[in-house]
Amino acid sequence: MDAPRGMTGPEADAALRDLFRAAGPLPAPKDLEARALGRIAAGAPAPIPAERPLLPRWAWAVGLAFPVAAWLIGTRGSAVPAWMEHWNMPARTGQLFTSPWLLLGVAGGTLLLALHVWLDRRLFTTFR
Amino acid sequence: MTEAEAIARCRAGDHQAFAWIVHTYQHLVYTVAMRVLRHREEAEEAAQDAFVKAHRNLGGYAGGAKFSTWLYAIAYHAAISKLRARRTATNDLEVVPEALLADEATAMHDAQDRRQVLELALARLSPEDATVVSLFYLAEQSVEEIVTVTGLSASNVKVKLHRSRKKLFEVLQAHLKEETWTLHEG
Repeated sequence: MDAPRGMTGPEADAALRDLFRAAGPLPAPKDLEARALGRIAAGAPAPIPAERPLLPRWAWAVGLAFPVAAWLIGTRGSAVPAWMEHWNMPARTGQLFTSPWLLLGVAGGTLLLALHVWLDRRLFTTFR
Repeated sequence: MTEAEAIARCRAGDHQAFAWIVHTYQHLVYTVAMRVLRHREEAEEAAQDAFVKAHRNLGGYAGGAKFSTWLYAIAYHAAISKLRARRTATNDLEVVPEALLADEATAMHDAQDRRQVLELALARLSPEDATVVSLFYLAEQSVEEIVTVTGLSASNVKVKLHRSRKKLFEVLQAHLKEETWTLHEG
């Protein structure tokens, strides 16, 4: 613990870290380990399997593909490819898919869902 | 056994693997609880609670944070819960830090005992500051990790570290006469 006089911040951090390391953590009571494991063996069920995400990854891909496809169909207007002609799409389908209300609704829903998943994951990481 | 192996085996239902985790982390988890509560029996109970809770929720450990950070967060919150329960039960009765109950003259006489002097210095800090300092210097958690453990803001953690370091140096300087513990500001 040879701390020189007039230490700077990093030097003080290093000196304190050395001191804490030399002192070590507080020794836990001798029976802590046995008692904790006893409580687990007595009452705790097997560990809960890892949480699956709310939506699988493929669902996110499909969800993203839908508005893109809707936008493409909408912007192409009457120039529908030949292979799609037999679908006999109702009139104004393109206008419906490119409606700002629909697009904003889909975008808003996706954002809220993403926020929910992120918060849920953060909660699992920190507190559970 | 490595930590990753122990976690994987625990998730598969291997209780021996969790025993390894308890054995490895018991002292640091107990230290975190003790810094918050400053009471041996309560700290032991909080540490036990933390391990039980960790075992029950190991499936929820996503691996985003270090396992130690995740475990310290559980221990910290278990200790905080005990502290709140105590405050409700005792109407804010202050528990005198056990280190301060020791005869200071004896502590000064045994200045060679670094642990004792360090405990004395930590007892001068608030429980929250002592926890932050212990997490930083002893458990080697970064500021960001301490934010995850305690829920404090990063700037708050930095301020607490700076202020606590200064206080610790004052006490260490007073007790460790043969060594020079002066902090150069700036």
